[in-house]
Amino acid sequence: MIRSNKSIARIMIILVIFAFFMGSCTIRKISDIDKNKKTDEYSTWTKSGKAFDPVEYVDSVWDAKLLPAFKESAVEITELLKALEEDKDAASQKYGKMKKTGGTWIAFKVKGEAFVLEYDDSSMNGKLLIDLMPADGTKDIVIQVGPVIKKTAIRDSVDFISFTDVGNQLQFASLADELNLRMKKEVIEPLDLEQIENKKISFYGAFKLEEDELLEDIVITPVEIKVVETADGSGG
Amino acid sequence: MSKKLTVLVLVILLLPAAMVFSGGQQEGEAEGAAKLMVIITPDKDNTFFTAEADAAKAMAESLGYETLLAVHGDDPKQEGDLIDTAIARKASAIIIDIANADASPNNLKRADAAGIPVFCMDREINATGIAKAQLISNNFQGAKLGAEEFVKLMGEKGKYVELVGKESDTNAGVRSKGFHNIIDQYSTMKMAARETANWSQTEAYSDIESILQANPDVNGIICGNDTMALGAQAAIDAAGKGDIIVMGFDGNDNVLDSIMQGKIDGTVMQPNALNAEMAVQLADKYIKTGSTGMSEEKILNDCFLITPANADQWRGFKKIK
Repeated sequence: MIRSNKSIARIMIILVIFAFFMGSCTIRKISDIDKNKKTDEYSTWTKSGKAFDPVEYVDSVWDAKLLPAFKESAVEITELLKALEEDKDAASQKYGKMKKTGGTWIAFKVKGEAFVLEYDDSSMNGKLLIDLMPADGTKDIVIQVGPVIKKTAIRDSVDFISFTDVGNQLQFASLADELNLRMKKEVIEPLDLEQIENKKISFYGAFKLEEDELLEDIVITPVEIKVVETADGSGG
Repeated sequence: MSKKLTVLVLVILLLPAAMVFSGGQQEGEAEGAAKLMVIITPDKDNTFFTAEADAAKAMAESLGYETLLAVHGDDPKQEGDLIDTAIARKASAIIIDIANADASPNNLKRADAAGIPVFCMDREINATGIAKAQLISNNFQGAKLGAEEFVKLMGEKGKYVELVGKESDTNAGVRSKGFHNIIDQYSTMKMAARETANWSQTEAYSDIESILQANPDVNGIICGNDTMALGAQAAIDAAGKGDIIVMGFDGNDNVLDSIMQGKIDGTVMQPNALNAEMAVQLADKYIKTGSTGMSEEKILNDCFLITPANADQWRGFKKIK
């Protein structure tokens, strides 16, 4: 198997050089995969399969489908947390996007308002510790702000993304990575994280609840953060 | 070569016999005899693969099927011979953990053309429209999960070693990509060495033995699978460096034990039994109704992180608590 791949590659190289020297031939790509090599290293994981360009895909959906999905159906976070505490299964059915087969996570789209108590950058997975309205001075939940972003909450919380449509498991993962990258560009870069403590924010975001996870473990991946005002009520 | 030749000769000799039997079976089918599911997996030595074969067999038999188990040894040619046997035996379905994502589709197409539905478990083929369902273990997601824990245990900094699986196995590369997808985001994590131990416990042992001599200040070892993790752990124990972080992948029972004993620091559990059982259940549904009932062919099942906190909740690749 490996040997035949090498000899095919050798033959290909010889043909390409031959065509080049002939001058009159145009070098034709052997497959679409080669054409998209820069943007889709993952379709070359195997020789078959169709190419997938995560940047192109995210560009096509971020404003047109993704943000509208959040604006339309995100649930108020305090309401959701209360419902999850009362009856996790019922709340998941009502508000969450469940994985229909296999694994046991549930993804939620949420929105809320909160004061930022602390910007914790002790880890590369930086976090905002926030106090949800009505504010009582204690940390309620966490929003991750990078530079390292963990998990795939944004990808998994929206209905219109399907694994089969995207491709293989690496391409599917590259989509999640690109969504997180785009999020950082749209949401985190404009923020002044060093000055964000004590400011009030309104946000939209997603989180995934794994089967064994507790509510205290929730980390929200934002898709929008707006600074509303500072703690003393003056405009931000 | 002679081993393959022997298999080929045996298959050729068996084909006429199989046809005689299947001829008899055809009459038997009309009278309601049990249908056959052929279950094909990579090998008989790795508990990961024996566990999925056993899970598929048990589920098939509980649904009233006869089963025939075979291994392809990661050889697409051998896999092709087994497909031909299944065709000759007029199997009602083939449940398979494929040999190679590029070469195997051609084998599976033959079964499909012969009217035998194919259901893939564990490994993914990079094509749709050939198998009726693919129950895929999300190796890439699992690798990222293990790497995140590994980075966390190392305090996001330090020198580490990566042990890679057999190059010819697609998953060796997938997992390595997954590891680096996470680890490379941390500039404070430095890779001291990266070697293939070919999924072998003994190779991993000797690799780590020599690597430790050249790099005495290694803090962690991340391994493409559990057998290599066992070899790595044994090597660091022998060198008196048991506190080096070791991370595995698969969820083998002996690594769960090691984790519970405080040795190996974690592994990634593949939804192995689940994939096998679902493949059989969907095959049964397809045989009875002509459809799997799923809206998509590919079903991607995530892996789970195993740490000392939850290692006792799993056994035989199934959640027991």
